[in-house]
Amino acid sequence: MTSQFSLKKDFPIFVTRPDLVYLDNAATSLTPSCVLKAMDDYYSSCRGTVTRGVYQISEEATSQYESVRERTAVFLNTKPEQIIFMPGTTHGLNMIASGLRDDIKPHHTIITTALNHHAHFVPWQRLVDPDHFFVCPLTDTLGIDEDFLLTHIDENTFLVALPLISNVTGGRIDAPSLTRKIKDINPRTLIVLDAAQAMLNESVTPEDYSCDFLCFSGHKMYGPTGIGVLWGKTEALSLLEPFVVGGDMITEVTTTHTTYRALPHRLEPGTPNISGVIGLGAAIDYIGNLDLSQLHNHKHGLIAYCFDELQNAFGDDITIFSDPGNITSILSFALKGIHPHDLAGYLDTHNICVRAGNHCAQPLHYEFLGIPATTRISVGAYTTRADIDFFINKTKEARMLYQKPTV
Amino acid sequence: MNVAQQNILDHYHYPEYQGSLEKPSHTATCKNTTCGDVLTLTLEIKSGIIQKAAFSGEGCAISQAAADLFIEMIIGKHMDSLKEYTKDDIVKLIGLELSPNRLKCALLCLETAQRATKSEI
Repeated sequence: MTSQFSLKKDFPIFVTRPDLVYLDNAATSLTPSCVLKAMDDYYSSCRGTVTRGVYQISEEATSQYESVRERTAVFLNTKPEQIIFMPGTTHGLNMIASGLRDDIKPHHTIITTALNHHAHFVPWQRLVDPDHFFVCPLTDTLGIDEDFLLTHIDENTFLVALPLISNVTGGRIDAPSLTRKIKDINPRTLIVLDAAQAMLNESVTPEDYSCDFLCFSGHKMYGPTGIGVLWGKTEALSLLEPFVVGGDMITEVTTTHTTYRALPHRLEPGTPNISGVIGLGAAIDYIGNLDLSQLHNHKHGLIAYCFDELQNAFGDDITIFSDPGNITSILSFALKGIHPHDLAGYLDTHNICVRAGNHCAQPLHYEFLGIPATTRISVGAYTTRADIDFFINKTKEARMLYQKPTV
Repeated sequence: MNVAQQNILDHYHYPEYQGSLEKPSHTATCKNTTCGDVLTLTLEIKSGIIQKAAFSGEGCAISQAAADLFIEMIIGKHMDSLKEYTKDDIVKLIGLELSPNRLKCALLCLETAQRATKSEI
């Protein structure tokens, strides 16, 4: 059973487009009025730079900016100096990879998984030679093969890159247990978690995992685009050579040398995305005011319902690449007789937004699932059961139209 | 459904030029990374004239039907004329208004054909 929980009224896009059925939340979520207002307030009332102005509006902006760092720390149950603001998950993961580049030695290995999105795959792939780069395969239920992973951890394992939740299957990994097992074998192995899909599906507290770094994006959790968080253990963040250097992150520059500020500012060069940070703060406050357990149950219930309805409608003609025993808010499938792009195009003519393609996970599609493309649906706080029913009905229509007529 | 849409579906369901030439003089494979379309063209070109052509691959109705329609158009033409075709020619061929992402599907045949002319076997 799915609840009647729906927050459409908080999201002004449904005023502009009342017929919108938005099922691409894994790509980016919609934005509530409170986030738009917070950013608008910054631009209209205290539009100054941060940390370096000695005038009132700059001090107000700085106060708001740093307040978001503190609220984010509370949200993650961590310390403010462990919160680095940066443009998003992809940028954060690249910051880590670039920052560690000089620490990689020829004997080092890196392990990633078939479930990793390109942003959590390519930065690691290019750090080591191909024969030092291992991709953990999948189990029959589309989980990661823990035996493969753990047997490849040894004294040479420099880093393990894991997603908390797959952006294709929607399956979650048992991160608390798995990261502890990795550290039990080699405590020096760095563990990087991609939490981009997890923030609205579970309570993410980095200290619950034995990880060193964790990244997420604001725009997938009702915040604005262009802002995200890199969280790290203090000692791990200290390992990172700044990815970008410039103003505000230095203590002294002479003609012969430069010294950097302490964390977190050392890793936040230049004028930051001030309105983005303020918008992220409003999104975190918005989420904080929701009944998260109800939100999670609502979304997981909708996907479970969708899973059953698709299976009932198409039987053996559909392959759903999600484990019904490990449902979150994402589901991907291939339907015989219609290409995902044609289905997505048809659904678009009825104002239904779904994703078609490989979802920036080519190794998973091509090498592990053996399929070039899938259709993905992913639900949000504003998705209703009626949205899912409409999607199922239009998918049936699309298939009737596109499948080759039987002679 | 309008005539253009029906035409696309007809070429998708019953393509005339699907397959692979046994002895092509030119070939190329291109991918549309957005949606995973893959298209391989094989061409038989004699004295600069495209005598035969065939396509194979996996993809959406637009990409596959566009390839079929495109081959129909280029057979008998000089290979140098492939350089002259533009996005507008393909849009006209398809006869549908396409979003920027769907346009990439339609243009895959043109990209593949232009690459094939540079890859004599």
